[in-house]
Amino acid sequence: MTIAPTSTRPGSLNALLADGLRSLDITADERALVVSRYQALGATFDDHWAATRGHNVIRPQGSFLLGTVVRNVHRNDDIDIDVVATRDVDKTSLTQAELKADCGIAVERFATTIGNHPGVSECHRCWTLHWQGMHLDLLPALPNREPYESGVWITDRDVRQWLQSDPAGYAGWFRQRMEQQLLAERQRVAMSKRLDIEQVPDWQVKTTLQQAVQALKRHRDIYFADHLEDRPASIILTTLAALAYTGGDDVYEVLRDLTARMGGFVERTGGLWVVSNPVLPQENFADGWASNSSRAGWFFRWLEQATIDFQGFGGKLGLDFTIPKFGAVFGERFAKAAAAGAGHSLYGASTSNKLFVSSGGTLAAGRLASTDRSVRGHGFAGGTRN
Amino acid sequence: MTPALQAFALRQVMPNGRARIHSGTLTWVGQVQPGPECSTYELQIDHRPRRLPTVRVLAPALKPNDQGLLPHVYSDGTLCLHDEGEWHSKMLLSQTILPWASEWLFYYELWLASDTWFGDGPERLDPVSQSEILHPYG
Repeated sequence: MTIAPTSTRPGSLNALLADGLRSLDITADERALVVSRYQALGATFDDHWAATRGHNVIRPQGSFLLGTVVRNVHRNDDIDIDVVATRDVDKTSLTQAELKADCGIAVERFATTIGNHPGVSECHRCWTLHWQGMHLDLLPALPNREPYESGVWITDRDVRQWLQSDPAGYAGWFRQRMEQQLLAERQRVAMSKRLDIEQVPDWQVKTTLQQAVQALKRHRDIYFADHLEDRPASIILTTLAALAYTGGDDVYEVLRDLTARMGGFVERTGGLWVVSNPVLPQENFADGWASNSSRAGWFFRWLEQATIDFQGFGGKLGLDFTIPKFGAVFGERFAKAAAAGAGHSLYGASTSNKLFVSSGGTLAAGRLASTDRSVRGHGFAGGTRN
Repeated sequence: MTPALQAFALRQVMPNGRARIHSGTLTWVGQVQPGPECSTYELQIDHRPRRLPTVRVLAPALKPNDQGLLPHVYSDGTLCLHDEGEWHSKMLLSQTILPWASEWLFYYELWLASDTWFGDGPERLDPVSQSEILHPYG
């Protein structure tokens, strides 16, 4: 859904990766559908919680909010969306199980009244709505205005205790880590479309941090295909990548830099592996590694493989080498999109008279250097020469 | 456009290429890399008076599919780079045939990787259109 830069080298690793990643991202239509669905869900909850006078809200969280959605390779490349339903009552007024059951009633009501009648299933601490191609996890929560206004209480996996969480605060921190790049991207798109920057929302652009997180998640999903239970959580990859991020406008270079350094942000405290939530330092995203000591080992093994794989993309010349390599590392959908993106980019540049050639015969979509020469449009034919 | 002028223009943009003129025929050999991640190819362009220029890939050897077919090639192994009437002798090879060969090679690498020739546009990606452009090679 992001908009391609105006002047590029078709077939560069940066362009190929961007095209491949775009195929794993949520489309503009899917995004609009998600928004309409969680708004409709919000209306049902408003009705259900009409007796509660406070500020009940349903908000997206996780990858949808961060701009790092990656299709679920283990579920037919479907889209998974997370939302938090916050009922504005004090946590002394109901138990964890009551809150979850109460949300379940509203979710069931929503599923029977909305068109397409999504299926409903229950997981440890959330409810999931299933549409064809899309799954929406609803996490019940109560407000927790300490230490930040955006905080919430959520239930633990056994639905017995309250846990602090702050998905909105985390999203704010993540955005801050890429603020300059986000602004630059919005500015670039605004200029190319002759719009004011305010007319380009965040979701219409993609920074190299967001792209890198998408690539890391996809690599992880394929690496752990046979033992998903050992894979590091997305929040761990996202946090470490954001901590290691120092900017840059070439996703291939950013990926190589992040994989080389992100492991250094995993801390070791009192014999425990720690990846702190930057907005709730008492929350350790890696607390699951304590109960299963092999998880940390798996994380570092995966990171090493990702480092090798990403470096390997540039190891040999030839799109007929690079694209199959993408297929092995990121899956066929990614590889096909990378090939199609490169082909369409070159063809589009040629048919719109924006194809240029540099010394050495290297092609560019748009003039990249003053010595580049415009290439005249033409067709291909073939067969028997007269 | 005389062969000498064509050779001069080619040398301007491809200083490492070698041009030779013999009996009015220009033969140019040089290396092109169509994209930053593409392989480098050695090409030979031949241009005889009153004939259309021809382009042949000298190295690395082109790889036809299992049926011995390649997209957009002539039966003599040269590349087909333009439709009828798109090239005439007043055009510079350096601004037409050479970059068009680069384009061909770019699409060729994508074809090797994906079995799809993208060079005829998004309307020609269907299996029938794709099979129509394949010709015997070698």
